[in-house]
Amino acid sequence: MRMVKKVAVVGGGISRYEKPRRENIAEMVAEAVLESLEDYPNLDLSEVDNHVLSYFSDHFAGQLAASWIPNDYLGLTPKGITRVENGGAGPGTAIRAAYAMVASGLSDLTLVTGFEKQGEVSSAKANEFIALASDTDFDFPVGGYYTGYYAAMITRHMYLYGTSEEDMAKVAVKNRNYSLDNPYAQWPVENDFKPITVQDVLDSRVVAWPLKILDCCLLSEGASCIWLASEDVVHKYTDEPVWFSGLGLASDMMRPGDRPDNPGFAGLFPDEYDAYPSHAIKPREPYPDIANFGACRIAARDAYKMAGITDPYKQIDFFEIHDAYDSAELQTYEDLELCKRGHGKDLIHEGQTYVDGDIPCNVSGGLQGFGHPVGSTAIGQTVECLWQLTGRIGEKHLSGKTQVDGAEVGLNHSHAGTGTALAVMILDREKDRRW
Amino acid sequence: MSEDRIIKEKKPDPKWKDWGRLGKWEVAGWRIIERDEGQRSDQLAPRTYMVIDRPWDVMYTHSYGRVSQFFMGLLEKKLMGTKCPKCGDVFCPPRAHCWRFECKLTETEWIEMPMEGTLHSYAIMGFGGEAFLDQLPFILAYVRVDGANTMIAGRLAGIRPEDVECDTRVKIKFIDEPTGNPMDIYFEMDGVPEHSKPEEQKARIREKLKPIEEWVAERKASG
Ligand SMILES: [Zn+2]
Repeated sequence: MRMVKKVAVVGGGISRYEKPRRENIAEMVAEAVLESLEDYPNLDLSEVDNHVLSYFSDHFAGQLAASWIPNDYLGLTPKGITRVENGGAGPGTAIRAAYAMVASGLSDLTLVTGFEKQGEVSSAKANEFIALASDTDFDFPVGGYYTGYYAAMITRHMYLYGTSEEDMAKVAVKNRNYSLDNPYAQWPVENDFKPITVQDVLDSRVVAWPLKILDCCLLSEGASCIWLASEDVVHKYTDEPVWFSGLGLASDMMRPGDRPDNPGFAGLFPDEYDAYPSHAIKPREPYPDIANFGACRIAARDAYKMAGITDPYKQIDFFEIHDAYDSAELQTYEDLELCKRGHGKDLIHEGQTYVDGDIPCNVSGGLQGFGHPVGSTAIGQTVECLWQLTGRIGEKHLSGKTQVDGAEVGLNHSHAGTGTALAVMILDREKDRRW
Repeated sequence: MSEDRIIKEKKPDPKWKDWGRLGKWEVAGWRIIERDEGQRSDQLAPRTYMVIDRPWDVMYTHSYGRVSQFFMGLLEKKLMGTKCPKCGDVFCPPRAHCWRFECKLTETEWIEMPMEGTLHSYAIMGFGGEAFLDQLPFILAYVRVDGANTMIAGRLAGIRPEDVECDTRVKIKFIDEPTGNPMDIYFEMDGVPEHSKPEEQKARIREKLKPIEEWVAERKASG
């Protein structure tokens, strides 16, 4: 049997996020690839033997099979092209698919690209398109859309654990203000490069209480790319590769209402039966209920196991996670098992998820500050991970303020729906870390 | 923020704004613009683009499949669910086959559901699709109909939004003229909620909803 090969990220680039971008999809992807070619001069498109591309919605692109356009624009024909679509977890799933192709020996050098164009339709229509990724027979027709679903999920969390609007607002402020020195980020351009405060978030318009406009991420356009090489050829491209040490992928019910009694979670987390707050009516499966993202915990546990991680809080140096809503970042701290359930708020209050804390989260700006061109999101965050792990933040951003000192291990989290599909990846400067 | 500076323009016929559904991908209007663009926000330079308006839409003729009976039930003001004859799990929203591995996709059986349930969680909607704007702020609720192992989404009426709390009892009601859509049912708070928020939090929510209520009132007044 053929050995599974180790796989590394050997380069990457980003075409900045804004809405609208006036470059077309292929041109945005080309800008991202061009940056990678300039920063990593040994990379050569002629040596790519496989292309994996991620974008979320044909509706947004106004173009079906849009993956074929950047593919031929980059001159990659007749090499193989695969589009991976998995909602908001599409880019993370694309990276996973590319990883599997390289690890298995099907490819030695795979280019992974991602883009989204969410500005060609009105914002109302854009939210409707995203809502079409919820159940269109039962959840969407009653006036549901994603902000409403996430609001209902954090409302239960508030009821169970006392999480507050201030707790969430602190996350929005952290991420948006960290994005100010990121020249690829959307929020600074939209907000005239000004910082915001917790009061600004609390004062912003209600979209679906408890979520207000500044609790929500952005609609975005932009693109990014990473290059994945097998251990056989990594040395040709860079002396500073970043290795995949762990990967996980999991799913949950599409309708949040189907989760509280879901037999798929029966017995998986035995401690949760007694830990459920006694003032609340306990569903058959108290975890995740609709207050947490069960698929995140499953994907993270698989990734931790593969990477030999037993204490993620101590062993992982920074996190790039999917803060589509600031509420979801707090829930995700818990689902990544960085704290006990219900204690996500403590991490932000203690400052642990700031750049100088124990577990910096989304110092790129995350989806709230950096932006969320869906098909690009986790690929762009992987580029940020690459820069963090190779100490390049000072060079690539306007300052080195968000460089995590001595970062060796990072986690990238790619999340879809209401936590319906979840990809987690762990990236490591070392090829074979012995903990 | 970067913005488009119009150099030349042909405005689309205003009908396209509302009649997008009739669109056939034609170029209805266009603008030649200049905009500061670039790969990084610290490297922007003016470039010229042509931006077009291209309307397109579609009608989906959709089958509710084997759970059609749920929607047919709505037309008769009956709330229908399904039950697995093997394990007894009850589904509302319905499933035509059981979700347990050990039941091996056993076909479920139709049952009529009681018109009562428990509010599991909710959101107070302050914005929404065009069809819902005049109803703002409304409460999007997930309710476990008594006996069900799934929860159904709908609107909760008969209570000020700030007074709502999880785990309270609700009645399930039908609108007067059902159309075969989950909007045919809604939930109504059954008496005083068993749980409530602190008064200070309620006051804050009330304050936050005021501008939305005023906006909707103005919208309705102006037709
Ligand atoms: Zn069954």
